[in-house]
Amino acid sequence: MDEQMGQIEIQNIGKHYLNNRKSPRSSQDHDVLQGGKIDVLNNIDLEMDDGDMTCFLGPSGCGKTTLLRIIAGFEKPTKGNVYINSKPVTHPDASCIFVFQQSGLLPWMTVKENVGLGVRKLKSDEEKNSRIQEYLEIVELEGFEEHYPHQLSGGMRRRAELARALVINPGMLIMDEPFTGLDFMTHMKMREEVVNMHEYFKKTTIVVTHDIDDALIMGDRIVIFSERPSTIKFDKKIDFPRPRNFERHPELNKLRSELYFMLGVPYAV
Amino acid sequence: MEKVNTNPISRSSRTSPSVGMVSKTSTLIVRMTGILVFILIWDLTARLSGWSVHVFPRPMIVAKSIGELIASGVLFKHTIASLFRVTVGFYLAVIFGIPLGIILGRAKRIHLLIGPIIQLLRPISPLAWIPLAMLWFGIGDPPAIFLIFLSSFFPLVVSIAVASRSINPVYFQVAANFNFARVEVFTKIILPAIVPAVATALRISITIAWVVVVAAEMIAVQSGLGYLILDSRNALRMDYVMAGMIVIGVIGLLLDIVIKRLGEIDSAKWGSSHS
Repeated sequence: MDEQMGQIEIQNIGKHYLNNRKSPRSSQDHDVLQGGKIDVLNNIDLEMDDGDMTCFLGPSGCGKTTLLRIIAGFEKPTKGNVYINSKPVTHPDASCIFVFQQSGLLPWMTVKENVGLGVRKLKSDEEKNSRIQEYLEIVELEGFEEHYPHQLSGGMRRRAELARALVINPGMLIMDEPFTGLDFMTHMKMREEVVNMHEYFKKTTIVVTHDIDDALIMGDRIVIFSERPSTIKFDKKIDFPRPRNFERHPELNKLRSELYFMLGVPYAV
Repeated sequence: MEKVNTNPISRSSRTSPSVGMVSKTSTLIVRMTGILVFILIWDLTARLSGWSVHVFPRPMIVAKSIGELIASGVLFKHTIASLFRVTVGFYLAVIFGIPLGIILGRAKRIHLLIGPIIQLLRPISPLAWIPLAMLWFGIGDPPAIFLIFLSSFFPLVVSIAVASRSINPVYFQVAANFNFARVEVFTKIILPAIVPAVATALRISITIAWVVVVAAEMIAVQSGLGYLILDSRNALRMDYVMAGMIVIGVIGLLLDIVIKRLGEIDSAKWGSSHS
C-alpha cells in the first residue's frame, strides 16, 4: 500500500451564497434581501501539516461545514483555492474521506458491504475480506457484518462509518460533528476511539465540532471561526500529551476558560 | 436510539407492531369472525328485503353457484383470461414506467419537458380511453391490455419519479467521495434507494390494474371475469354476478399479498423502519 499524505493548504478562500429565502435565515442577515449575496467565508488562509488533527470551532451557521465541503471538493469556493499535497482540489476523491454528520452509511447495504465500498476495486476477494475484517475488528464490530445500518445503535453506526473511511487508507479524514446525536457515554467513548485511532494511524484529520471540550481533548490544533462572514479568530497548536485530562493539565483548564470566554459564555466553566 | 438489535430481523416476525401482543391464532379468529358476521348480515338483509333470490341472492346460493362455476371449469377459464391481461398490461407498465420514472426524477430538464404531459394525462380515467382503445386496437386482448397498461403506468411513473427525486443527497456525496463510476451510482445508489418506493408503487398499481381489468373486459372481449359478470347479467343470473365479484375480491387480495412480500426483503426494509 502506498503511503498517502495529507498536507492541506487553504489559500484565501471566500464563499458567498445567493439568498433565496424570503425571510431571513437568522437575525444576522436582516439587511440581505432576496437575491442578495450572503458572505459565508471571508479570506480564509490555513495550512495543515500531514498527520495533524485540527478541530474547527465556531458559532453555528458560521460556515465551518461549508469550508469542510470545499476542502472535500463537494462545493466550489467563490474565490481562492485549496491544495492537498500541492494539488488543487477540483472534485471529491477517495484520498480525502468525509464522515457525515448524521449517517453516511448506505442503508440498503450491510455493514460489510458498506465497509467494503472503499476496497471494492481490489482484485482478490481474499484480500478484500481480510481488509474489511481487519477494520471491523479495529472498531469492534465483529459479528455485525451482516447487519443493516438501521439494526445498529447510533454509536455503532458511527464506528462502522469510521471503519469504512479508514479501510481505504485515505490521506485525510474530514469529520463533520461526528458525535452529534449520541448520548453522553457513547459520545465519550467515540471521542476516545477517534483519539486512539488518530494516535495509531496518524491521518490528517479535520473535526468540526461545537463542543469546546471535544476540541481540547482531541485536537493537535484548534481553529476558531467568527460569526458570518467567517474569519479565523483564534488558531493555536495544542501539544499536551494524550490521553488528556482537565485535572491533570491545569493549563488545559485555563485554555478552556479562555475559549469559553471567547465564544461568549464566560460563566460556563 | 441506543437500543441494539442484535438479531437481524427474522422472517418469522412479520406481524405488524399493532398486533404484536395478539397471538397468531387469535388474530385469525378475529379476522374470520369479521367475515362471518359480514356473511350473516348479508344473509339477513337478503331474507328481510323481501326481494326474490334472482334479484338479491343469499350467501348459500352464491356459494353453490361458485361451486357450479368451478366444477364446469368456466371460472378457471375466465380467471386465467383476466390474470393474463393484467399480467401483460402490468408488465408493460413496469417495463416502461420504472425507467421513465427514474429519468423524470433524476434529470431536471427532462422533467420540465415531460412532467406536464404526464400530469395532464394522469387524471384521465383509463375508462375514458375505451372508445379510442377499441378504435385503435380492435377487439380482443389488445384494447384491454392497453387500458390496464394506462391504469398502472401513470401511478408508477409519478411515484417513482418522486422517490428518485427525493433520494437523500448525502448518498450521492458518499458515491462521489468513493469515486463511484456513473454505472455504480445507478446500480448502487439510485436503484436500491428507490426499492421501498417501487414496492409500494407496484402494490398500489396492481390493485388499480385489477380494478380496471373488469371494466375493460365488459367492452371488447368474450372472456375474463368482467365478461362473466356482464354475460351473467344479460342472463339475469345475479348469483353468478356475485360469484364473479367474490372471485375478483379474493384474487385481488392474493395479488396484494404477493406484491407486499416484495417490500419485505431485507434490503428494502430500511425504508419503513428507518427515520
